[in-house]
Amino acid sequence: MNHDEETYDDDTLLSAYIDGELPPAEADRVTERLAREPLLMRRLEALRAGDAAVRDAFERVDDEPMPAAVLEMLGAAPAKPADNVVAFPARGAQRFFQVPVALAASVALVAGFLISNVLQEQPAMGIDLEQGGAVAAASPLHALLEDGVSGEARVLASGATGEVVLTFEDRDGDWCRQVAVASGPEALHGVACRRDGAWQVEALGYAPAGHAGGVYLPAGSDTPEAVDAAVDGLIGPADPLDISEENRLISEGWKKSPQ
Amino acid sequence: MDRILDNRQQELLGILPNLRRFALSLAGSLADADDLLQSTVERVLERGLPDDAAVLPWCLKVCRNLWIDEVRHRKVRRDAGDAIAATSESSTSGEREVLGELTLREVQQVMATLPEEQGAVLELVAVEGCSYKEAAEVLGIPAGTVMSRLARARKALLVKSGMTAAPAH
Repeated sequence: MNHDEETYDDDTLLSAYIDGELPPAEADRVTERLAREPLLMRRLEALRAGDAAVRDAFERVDDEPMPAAVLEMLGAAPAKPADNVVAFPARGAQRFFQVPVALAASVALVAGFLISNVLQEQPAMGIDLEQGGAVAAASPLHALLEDGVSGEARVLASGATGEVVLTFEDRDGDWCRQVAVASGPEALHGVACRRDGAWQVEALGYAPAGHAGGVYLPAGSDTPEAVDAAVDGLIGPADPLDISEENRLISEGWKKSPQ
Repeated sequence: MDRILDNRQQELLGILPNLRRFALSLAGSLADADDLLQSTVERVLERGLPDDAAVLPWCLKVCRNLWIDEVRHRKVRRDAGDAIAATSESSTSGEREVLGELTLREVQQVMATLPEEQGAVLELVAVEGCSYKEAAEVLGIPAGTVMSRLARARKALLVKSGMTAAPAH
């Protein structure tokens, strides 16, 4: 028996298992083997520990100040001494498709405060509940509502991952969009409708985020009841829009359909 | 300050930390990574982004292409890698009891010795949370190659850092 080859195969299997990249049947076989083979389990734990060490090491770089020249090119003022104008999220906060918005910010949002983002005065989600739930034009959520396409996750300026779930016309003939934003195991869901040229939030709620390949995705299996109920209450007689209709509205700037 | 950043600039600001870590996985030192980061942002601002492109994957590709140009031009990495390879055995030998305590320098030293962009693959998948497909796209290689390079990178990391005993057999 060729031990080297067997070992190599196991490492490749375990590596893909860690990343959630094995086909389901193969992943199940690995899970079964792990239950019976303590050495294989130990190897899996070692590989995971190696990943954690690499992550920790790389995330330490986030504590180093961003080069001023780069920030200036992007129109952001570098931090003055003693005045941390541009503070990036703490280490570990930014991931490719899994980027926690500060938990405190999410709590503040539900509590009804205008929340502020790490980027200067830009609101993280830009929902001002004191202004009737208007979504600020400069907010990352506004960009998602304006030109997001259903089913396509994208990284927002806040660092969270956002996705449009559904687009529909409400009983008043206004366009509404259901969106989800994930920043960790909890995803924030919401419905906003375009009223007189501005997006107004109709409902918000939290649900567990989807999870695939070790990353959090905004659209999980559950939608918060409040959001489902809001959609049911709002939706008009027409079917939700398909992607080509969405694209047409996006290119036309969300013009209302003739009544 | 009343300057309003346009959406693309905001998005670029948002992904700077990710881009910088990836640059570090390629360049091997923070000083070189920051130079590479600056060149990448310059290039993206100069040439623009296609409207339909996702900002981060696009920038990662630009970053990687610039680094390849740089390597071809100066062969910096090979020299640095050779120098580090000569010292890394002694500095990281012996089994560690405490896992997850590698310094950035140690990780960089190990990664600098990995061939075939294995370090970049590991960074994209293990740190940035890319799928194999996403990593493959950034690096311009097949997903199957991502899978095998990643396994080799993880294995090499454990061996070279002395973090664990030999594989199960």
